[in-house]
Amino acid sequence: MAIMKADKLGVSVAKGPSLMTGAVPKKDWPDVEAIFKPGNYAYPAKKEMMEYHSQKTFPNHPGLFGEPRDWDPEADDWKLPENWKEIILNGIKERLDKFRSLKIFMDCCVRCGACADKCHFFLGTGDPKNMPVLRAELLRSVYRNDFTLGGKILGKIAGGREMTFGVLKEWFMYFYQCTECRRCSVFCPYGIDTAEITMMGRELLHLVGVNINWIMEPAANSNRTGNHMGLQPHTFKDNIIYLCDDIEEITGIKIEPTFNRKGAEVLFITPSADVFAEPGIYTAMGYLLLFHHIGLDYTWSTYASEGGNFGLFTNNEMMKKLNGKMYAEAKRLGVKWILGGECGHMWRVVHQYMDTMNGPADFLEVPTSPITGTRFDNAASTKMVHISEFTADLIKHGKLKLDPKRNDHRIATYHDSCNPARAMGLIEEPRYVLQNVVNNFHEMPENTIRESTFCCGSGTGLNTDEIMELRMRSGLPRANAVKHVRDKHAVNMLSCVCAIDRATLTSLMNYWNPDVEVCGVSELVGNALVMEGEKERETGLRFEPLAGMEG
Amino acid sequence: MLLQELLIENKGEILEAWVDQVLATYPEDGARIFKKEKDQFANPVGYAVKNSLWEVYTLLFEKNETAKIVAALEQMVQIRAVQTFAPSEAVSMAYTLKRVVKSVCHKEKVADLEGWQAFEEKADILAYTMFDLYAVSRERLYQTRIAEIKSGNHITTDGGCPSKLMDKNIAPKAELKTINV
Amino acid sequence: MRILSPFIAVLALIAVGLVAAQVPGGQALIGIVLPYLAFALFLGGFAYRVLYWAKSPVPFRIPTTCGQANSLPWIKQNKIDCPSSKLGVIARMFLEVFLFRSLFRNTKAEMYEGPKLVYGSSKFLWLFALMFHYCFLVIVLRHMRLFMDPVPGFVAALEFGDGFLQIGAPVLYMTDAIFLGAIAFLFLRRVMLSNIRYISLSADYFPLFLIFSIALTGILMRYVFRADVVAIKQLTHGLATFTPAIVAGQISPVFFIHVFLVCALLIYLPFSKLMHMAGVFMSPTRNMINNSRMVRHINPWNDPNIKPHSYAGYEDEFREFMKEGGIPVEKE
Repeated sequence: MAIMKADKLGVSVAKGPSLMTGAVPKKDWPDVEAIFKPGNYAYPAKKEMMEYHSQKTFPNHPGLFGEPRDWDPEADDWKLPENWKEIILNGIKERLDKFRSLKIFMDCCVRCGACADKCHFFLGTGDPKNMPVLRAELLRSVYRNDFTLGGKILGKIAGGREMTFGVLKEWFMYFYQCTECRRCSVFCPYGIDTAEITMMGRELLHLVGVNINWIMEPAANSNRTGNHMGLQPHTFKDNIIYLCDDIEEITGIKIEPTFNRKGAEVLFITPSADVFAEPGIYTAMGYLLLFHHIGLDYTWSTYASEGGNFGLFTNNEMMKKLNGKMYAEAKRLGVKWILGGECGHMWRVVHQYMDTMNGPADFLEVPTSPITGTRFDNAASTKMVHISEFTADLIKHGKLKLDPKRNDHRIATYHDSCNPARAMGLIEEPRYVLQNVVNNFHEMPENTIRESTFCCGSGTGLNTDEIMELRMRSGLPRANAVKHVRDKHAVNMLSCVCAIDRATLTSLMNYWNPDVEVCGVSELVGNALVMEGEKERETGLRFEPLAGMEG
Repeated sequence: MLLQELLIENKGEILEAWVDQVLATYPEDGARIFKKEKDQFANPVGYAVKNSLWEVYTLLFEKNETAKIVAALEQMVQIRAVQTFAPSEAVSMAYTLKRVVKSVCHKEKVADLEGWQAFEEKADILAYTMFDLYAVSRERLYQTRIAEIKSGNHITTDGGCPSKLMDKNIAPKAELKTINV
Repeated sequence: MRILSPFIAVLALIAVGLVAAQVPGGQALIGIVLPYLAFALFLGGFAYRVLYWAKSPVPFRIPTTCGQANSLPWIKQNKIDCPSSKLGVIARMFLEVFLFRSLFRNTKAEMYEGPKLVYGSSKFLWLFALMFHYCFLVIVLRHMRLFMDPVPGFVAALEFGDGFLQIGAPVLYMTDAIFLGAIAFLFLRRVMLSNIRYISLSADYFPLFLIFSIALTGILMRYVFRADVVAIKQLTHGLATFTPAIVAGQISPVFFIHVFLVCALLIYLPFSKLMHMAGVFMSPTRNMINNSRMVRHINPWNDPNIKPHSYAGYEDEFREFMKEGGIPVEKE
């Protein structure tokens, strides 16, 4: 009878239908409830945080973030405002009037299923509501019910659903299990972009005060201190100086960067994680070495010390507000143009939103490389250039003295970060740079790179450690592709141009492929740069011994 | 008939039942399409489980290469270690297998005590190999969390500068909720 | 339930058509009044829907870039999948609309032994969707014969090409057969593939059943019941020239069912997902030029009152720290 006990083992835990275990739910998807339990949701924003946003960030926009309060996703009462349904429906109406994309994406889906197995969240979790089509249906069903003729007349038969607390829970669950990576949109015959749907969903959730701390706190930090990390000006500077000390120890070169300097030619902005967190700091050392190498007249800013923009994961208002610092600071300092570091969603904002929101930047000049004279006409209006574009141009003109042998202890592959690949088209520049700075390079399988790249699984503010298991699941498709090149080519370095990637892929690799490290492309550049007057190099930027140069 | 013969002759039937029981956590669930479907784009995770079990079975009972099961099990256990299973359930496959084989024995009226001992020994190897792998995976998961905190990314959640200005009394949920397995 | 109710709905429509064709005045109703009504509703509804979409602005330039962007002159741009000019967008839209480019890209995730996740190319959906839509187009165009006199050359040519195989009498149109096959595929796909069945709604099955019934009644008329083409043309041509008349008793009831279902489709279309035929042209991720850093895109509701936390406010808060840290300040 011991067998019967085995039969009962653990069944109580994995409750609720899910494809995750291989069983197919018997119920139709609208009838499957979203259940929150530790590990499957990110913590809600602290009350103080939301008070800060209501009082300081947006004092003149009441209602943008609902009522600040402490609440628990696992509880049956989320302490929603009494008229929360009305707020949501009005919010949908408002957004339909503001975004054509929303209307089209609500109306056009034929549920062909082409997107279903394109989502890393679906592939990794097997949860059917992570199919992009169903994620959108969560919102679409409410839209149909209240905003279309068919839904108003036929209701459920037309696929309509009333806005209920259960639906709201689903929204919170699944709009925070989407990283807005746009992979599904590549394969959709109508270009339906789940990123747009998720953004709308999250905006609506904010209206009734449903949010997560890992987005709202960095956003608050960014508003006040200029960066997500919450680094105050002197700390920000100290950290960079500390990196310069390391550089001196490794190369013998003393670098003295400037901060908030008026009259510099270029303002350099990168995600603050590059200044503080591993392994981003090695990428920052790469920038510092590069700029010193070419003698660039540039300055850092402590006020605009964040490239990333968690407003993109919040709402349009927040995105605009946080992004505004870039132009404001460029104007104050009187620089000619802005150079941007390696970051994914930062570049989505810079490339597709910044000029529209906070332009025109008529006080800046069309970016021109002072070293090569190349005019970056592709940034003629926004006046901001990506570091990979800038570096590729330098290499092409032979302005960098490079010794790729210094990266011979690295067998690299390249992870296309979602936003540069699918919202910008930055695909070949980093590859060109890599070709010139590493000798050993292998691409991952075709369907997992370039425009088909798989997300790290933790973008859009989901890189918080309380959902580590979820992140490991959603990152499985990416990790699998890395495993493939690791097994085949002994790849040991996963390079990328995204700060979130650098943090999250590191964790992903730690779990799935422990012998693979993660770096920014600029780290490999910095490591390969032969600096004038340098001492004999024995280690790389991580103080790791170089192959064949050990002594 | 000897049990070893039964294990090979009824391989298909046993594996089918085994995979079925491992995959189906919900007794009330009627749908069993994964049994029928050959190409599994619907659920790569479930499919990974299936493939692992097939391979392990072959290694244990046909090829007799017990040492190789670690490689065959590794990724499946890694996947199960980050899913919403209780630890006992995540690694319960060996016991499920015993149950399946027992019922086949009953049906085929095989009474081979020696054979059963040999089988049980192998099933036990499977059980504790999986337990080891599971423990390694979970440990690695928490090491990953720790590494992430050490890397400096934590400052965004623990720095808390604006909220500190608003309220000195910080007892946020984020700190209270610890890992709850 | 999601399959059964639309099936019953279509059967009901057929029954209504069949009955109406038998009652006095019913033929005129279905043959004359309803087509005009349906066509008017179709045009009106179609225009309404397109205008409803167009009323909302496109605040941001959000193309999905599926290839290398226009960048440094020596980097080869993918001018179609990541267009930086109008011409590129036109090419992209052409490929999208006429060749279903995005579906062609479709892959299928499969798990192989190992276990290894592999993404293979999957072209079946693309192939059958393409066949379905093109056959539909050819069939609609072939029907122009009934509305025009003399029959335009391209229609005759189309008919000749379509009946190229010269099988049977009357000649079997290839499109008829392929069309039915493609619908059957699209239907079976929905029913057989577990995850597609899971996402399918009544609104997905209904048009399939409806279009299948339309095709089937059309085929029955041509190959089985042999409808009186002359009488039908008299009616349809009359409709097109606004002088409709029904030659009583000469036209088979199947024709009226066919017409009734077509009218149902025309009325249903503007209010359904079938509007994707217009929506695809207006999808911002496909029909926009990827030049947002080159040319400023204007958002009509951009709120000028949202300004960043000011530098002055920032310096006020951190001035002492900045001075201590040797960072230049505006006010000492």
